[in-house]
Amino acid sequence: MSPRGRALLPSGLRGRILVAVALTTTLTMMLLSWGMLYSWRASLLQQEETNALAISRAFSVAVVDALIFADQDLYQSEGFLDNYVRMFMEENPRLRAVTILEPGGRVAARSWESRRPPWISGDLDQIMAVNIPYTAITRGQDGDWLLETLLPLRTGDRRWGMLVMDLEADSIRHQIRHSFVQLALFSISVTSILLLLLWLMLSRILHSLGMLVSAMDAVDFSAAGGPTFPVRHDEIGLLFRRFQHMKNRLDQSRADVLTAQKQVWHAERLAAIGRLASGLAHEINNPINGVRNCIYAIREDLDNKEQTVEYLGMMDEGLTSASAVLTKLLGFARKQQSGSGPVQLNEAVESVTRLVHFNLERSQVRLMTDLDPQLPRVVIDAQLVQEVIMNLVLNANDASAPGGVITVQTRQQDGQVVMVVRDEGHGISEANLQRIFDPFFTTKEPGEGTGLGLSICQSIVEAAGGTLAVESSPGKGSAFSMRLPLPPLPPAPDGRTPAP
Amino acid sequence: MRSGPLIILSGALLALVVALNTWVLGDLLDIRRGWPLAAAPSSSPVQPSHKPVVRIGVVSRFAPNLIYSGYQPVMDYLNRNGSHHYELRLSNSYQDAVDRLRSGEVAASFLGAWITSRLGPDPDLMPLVAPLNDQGRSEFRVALITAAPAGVRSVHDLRGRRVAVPSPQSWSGNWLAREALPHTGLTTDDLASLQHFAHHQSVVWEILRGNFDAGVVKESVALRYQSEGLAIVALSAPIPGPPLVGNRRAPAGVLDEISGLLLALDPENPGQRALLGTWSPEFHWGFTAVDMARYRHAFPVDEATVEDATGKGTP
Repeated sequence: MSPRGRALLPSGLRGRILVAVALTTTLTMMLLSWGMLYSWRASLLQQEETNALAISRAFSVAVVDALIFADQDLYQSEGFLDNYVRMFMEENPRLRAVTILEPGGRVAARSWESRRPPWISGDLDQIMAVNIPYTAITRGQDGDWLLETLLPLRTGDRRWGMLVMDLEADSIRHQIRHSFVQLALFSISVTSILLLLLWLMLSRILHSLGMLVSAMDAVDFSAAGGPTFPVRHDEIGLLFRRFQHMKNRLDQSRADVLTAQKQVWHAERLAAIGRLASGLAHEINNPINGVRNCIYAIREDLDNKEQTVEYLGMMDEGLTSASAVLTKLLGFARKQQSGSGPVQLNEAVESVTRLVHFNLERSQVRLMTDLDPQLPRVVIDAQLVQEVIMNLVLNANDASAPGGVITVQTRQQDGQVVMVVRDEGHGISEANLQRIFDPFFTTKEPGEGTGLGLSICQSIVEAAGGTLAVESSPGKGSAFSMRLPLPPLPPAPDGRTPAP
Repeated sequence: MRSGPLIILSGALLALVVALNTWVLGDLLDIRRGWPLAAAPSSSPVQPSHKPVVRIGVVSRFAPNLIYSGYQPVMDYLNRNGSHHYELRLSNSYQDAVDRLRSGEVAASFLGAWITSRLGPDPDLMPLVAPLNDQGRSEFRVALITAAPAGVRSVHDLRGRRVAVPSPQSWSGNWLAREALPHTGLTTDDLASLQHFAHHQSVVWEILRGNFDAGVVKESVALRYQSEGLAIVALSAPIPGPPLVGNRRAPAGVLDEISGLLLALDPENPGQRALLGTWSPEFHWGFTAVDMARYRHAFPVDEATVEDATGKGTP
């Protein structure tokens, strides 16, 4: 179908079905009606012709008798035929004309209204030679329709003549027209009723489908459970049940994915801890070496109580320092109960900076923070956001040269909480910038990175409804921007939701 | 759903449906049917026969239309196979048939057996052939018939009854008075009435209508109307079949041609039997040659009757 043709079709399912059914029904009813009418008309004409011939035959009995009497001079038959014709015409209102022809073609008798049939003038000999009855339907000069019969009058081979009758045929056309109108009205009624029933049925089905679509639109895929559908025992009900079942499976899949994702995130956390290991080891090793030196000095001079007390104090200080480092590490590595809640992003930044402090010192990289003290809380998992900050800062540290500066900045902008981690490192090439968040993409040497860090960071941020973007200029440094949406404000006491 | 296209489409469909139905209605109402004369079988023009015309008479034992339906096929057969054109010539009465034969207006005439026996010593008139019955004999019988409600079970029951009989110039019209009643000791005076009718079928109709209690017709006629409620009460003894009587003054060869053609018919021949089946029922079994002596022997001459039949009287 051409585009113009398609444009004429209604776009809705109900309209298309109605048009298709209307077309099919109308076409079928028309063809059936026409077939019935043509068949019925043929039967009607056949019946009318049979009746006309029966009338002719009935009349021919008396006519033949009269012709025999006249031929045999058995009775005074003068005027018999004319009287017969006249009386017969009076008894048969459908008769328009009667003509009795002698074998030679001469008119033996005829009704006063008889006209000279045009076919007689053409080939009278041929007409008179006809041995079997014939009928014809013609239209007279005055517009009337006539059913004409041609009946040879004969006994054996003895020909008495020909009986020609004209019966009016307008009543036949009237019957045909009447039947046509009746059948047309019947067809229109049937088609209308069918379309009305179909329209009602489609409305009911489409209403149910609309309910399903509305329910599908209203489904919160982040929440378990789902909409409650009306109980139905038809195909629509089956559709409802299948959709509910699909929603349940989707919830289960989402739960499975979330579990796997958390396992991945935890693994990445452990990997981050590994990246912290060298700095942490140095930080722990220094107090331990101090403790060991104190122990050596005490062992060398056990009687020097004053020195021992001093060294024990130094040892306690060193162990306290190491313990503090380990406490921080455990606090980061421990797999805590997950859950999103309002988080003060500045606190997360400070927690992370304290932990990576040792690595930065080791790398001779300076970390500077520019935190907005009015920064509102955001809804995100506290552990996960720390992991994101940890990854970004450690990556900045890896990219920075000794003496470099890393800046962590937080602010509120355009209804969002923004955190930017900026370094002055070697930057990222244009080609790598396109793939920086792809899983397993890394520019580090094999064994030095999993390539999952930034990918996981992005998934954590996006799961919280935020975005993670990067800007970088090779040789000048990079800036990773984390944007998180502000949590919805609690409803006002009057029930209205205040504007943000 | 967009309603605009649907309205346009519906309008277009409606217009198409209306146009199609208008055309169909016009076609349905055009009921003209021409004369199929070009395909008409046997449409050969009527050609007048150039053969010499020979007229054959028929005694008026049946109504004219019945005579034509039964005897015209005989003429058709003679016309197709003979060298003359044969035409029927009907009579108003038995006597009229004899007069036309005697005068030579007809070359031959199908007469009754009784009137044939009363033709008198006319040397020109001679029986040619007579029909055979299903036994292969040229005999027939007349039957006393009645309608069931009349209660007539024998000839004895005719006392005080109304009786209808055919022409007094036929054996059917004479059998009751001459044979049946005398054998039972009755006379026509014992009947309530005895009325003659021109045709055998007229007797049947009168009895069936209840105008008469009984009647006499040829056995073949009685058998034909048994299914309509007629009962045969009594049968006469066999008498010679009704002959075709020729006049020797007919054109030469005519009588021989007629006799030859009719005697040539063999009812055992399926084709000819089918042909005979279209003729009057009394001809279904063919013909045999007969002579005058057989009729005079069957019906001894009665002076009064001979005079009736010949119109001249016989000493």
